[in-house]
Amino acid sequence: MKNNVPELRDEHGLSQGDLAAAVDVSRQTINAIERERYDPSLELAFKLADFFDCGVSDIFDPELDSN
Amino acid sequence: MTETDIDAAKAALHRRERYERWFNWSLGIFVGLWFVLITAGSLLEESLLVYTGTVSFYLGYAIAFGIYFGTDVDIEDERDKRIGNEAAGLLMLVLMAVMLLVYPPGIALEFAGVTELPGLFWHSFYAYCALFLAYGACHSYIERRRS
Repeated sequence: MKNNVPELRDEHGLSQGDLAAAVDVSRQTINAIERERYDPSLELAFKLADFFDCGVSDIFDPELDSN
Repeated sequence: MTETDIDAAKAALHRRERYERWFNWSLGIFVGLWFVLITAGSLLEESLLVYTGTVSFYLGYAIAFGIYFGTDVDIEDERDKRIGNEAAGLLMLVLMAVMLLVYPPGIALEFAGVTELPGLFWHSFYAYCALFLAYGACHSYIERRRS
């Protein structure tokens, strides 16, 4: 699923490992989300939204899904 | 999230990664050793090697289970679990393809007198049947939990 996790992460000055630690997943999971290889669960999507202090739809955009 | 929170979260992540490594290594080393020892024991007809291998096997699983169930660390995240589920699904698909392509024609050919199937064919057929029955039971159990 298209997302702007890399942009949000850069804005916050975080590495993939930092973000992974913050939302309690592995760095590989964050990497897979950023590369649109893995769609996170609702729980993780909400955790990311909570972390970045925005809505889920501000991060993920199913309309632009390339798959 | 403050800098301190991030540091604490990173420490938790590193702990998980460390436990995951121990989990994988304990299984890899001790179960690998079991395989080597029982192979050597069979070839050399040395029962002590087989017994040592058996101890090694259970030691590996004891460590792995200890890490998995005995600590508060969840060594798999949601992606790891999904990978496991999808791999299991793919495996079932492959097994089903083999089941469909091999067994019905094989059995029909034997009953037509065209060929005589080896015992291994029938043993594997029954193993396949048991596997699919077990899969059906697991599927029903999970479906009931999710309904």
